[in-house]
Amino acid sequence: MADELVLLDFWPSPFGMRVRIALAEKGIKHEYREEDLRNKSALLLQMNPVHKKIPVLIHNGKPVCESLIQVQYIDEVWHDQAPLLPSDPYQRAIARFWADFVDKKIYELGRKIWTTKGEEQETGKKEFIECLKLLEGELGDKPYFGGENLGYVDVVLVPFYSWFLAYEKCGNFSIEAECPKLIAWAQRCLQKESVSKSLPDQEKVYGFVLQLKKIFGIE
Amino acid sequence: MAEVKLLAAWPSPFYYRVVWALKLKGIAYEFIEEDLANKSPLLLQYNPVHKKIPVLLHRGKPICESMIILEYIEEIWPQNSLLPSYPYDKAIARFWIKFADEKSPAIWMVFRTNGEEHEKAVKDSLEMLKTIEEHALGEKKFFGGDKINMVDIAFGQLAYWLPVIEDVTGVKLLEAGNFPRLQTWIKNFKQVPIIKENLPDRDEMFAFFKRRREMTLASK
Repeated sequence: MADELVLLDFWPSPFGMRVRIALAEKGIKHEYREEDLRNKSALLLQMNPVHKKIPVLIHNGKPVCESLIQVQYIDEVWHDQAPLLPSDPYQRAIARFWADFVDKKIYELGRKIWTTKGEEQETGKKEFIECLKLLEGELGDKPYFGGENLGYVDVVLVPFYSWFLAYEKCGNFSIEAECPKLIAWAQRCLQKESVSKSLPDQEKVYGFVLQLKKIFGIE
Repeated sequence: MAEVKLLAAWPSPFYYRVVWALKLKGIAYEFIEEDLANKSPLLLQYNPVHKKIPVLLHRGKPICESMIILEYIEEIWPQNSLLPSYPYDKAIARFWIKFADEKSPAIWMVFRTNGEEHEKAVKDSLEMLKTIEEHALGEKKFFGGDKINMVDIAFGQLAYWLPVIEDVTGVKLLEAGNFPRLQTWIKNFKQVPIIKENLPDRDEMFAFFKRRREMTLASK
């Protein structure tokens, strides 16, 4: 019996992008369904009753929620193609640590940059750059966080690159000026079809952020 | 020289998560006590990013973040397994572990605050407990089924630290919401021999947290 996979997603979500990349890396056929987050489908509410959030990966009718958990699940079930997590337990712990770091910091700090102004925004920008620099340190001289190939941390972090233009415009700063190595890494990732097909255009995301700012009355 | 060392501080619930996992698997370790008011060069060297405990040192290499430490322990020492082996069940277990980590801080906000912030924290805590009661436990004795697993360990704060927070603040969250499944789980969890033998002294904890709350509120 063929596997049935449905991904409930929302195009600008960096969390959804992680799952798109993982599925594409492994060449896994699936159905993509766009959710309107202002009018969530009955399926979404049924499959993720606790958080009511996307992405939700539905595998043969059974839901898996939370993007880091979904990426690990995909890596475990389709373990023969393009492995994302390292095989060595210590390296896996390191990869999980940095994925957790991205989850704890990048989304919230990025959000601070586009939703606030003045001192709060300046603090957000400063901390955001500090976090990116720590990530640059972890990358070192490797082409990818995963080494020679795209790995777990690459998949977890690169979606935020699609939001960088929005952060830069809203925060009036240049991420590349501060973190050129990280930008070079992101552009290297985008050379891969699994990434380029999964990330929306930066201009499109910026347009979406401007719309959100209007709706929420944020200057 | 001990192969496994644990940098931690009493009475952190995150420290105890690692102790329970190591003991359940019969792994010997050396405990290195950290004074969090005066962090050692060792801690700053091994956890430069967060500068927090617990840190597990295995053959000299550091692993940080309690649930990441537990996944590592599970992979290195697979005996007495703490996670399901089937990928889907593992994903469900990880979902609840993440939920525990994301939502449990609400009980510490109840502990640390007063006024409006405190009211919101009480509301958030009750919501969390309600979700666990309605969605997480089902009819099982433990989250892990007949035996405890990593999910039970992740929720361990609710079994032992929450009641101390309730005593110190006078806010009876567990009673207020009337959570029969959760209350039964708490009773059963504390009876598990490894857990029972590895809990901080209740009176010492109460005194410690009472002092901390007074200091925290005084500094506001």
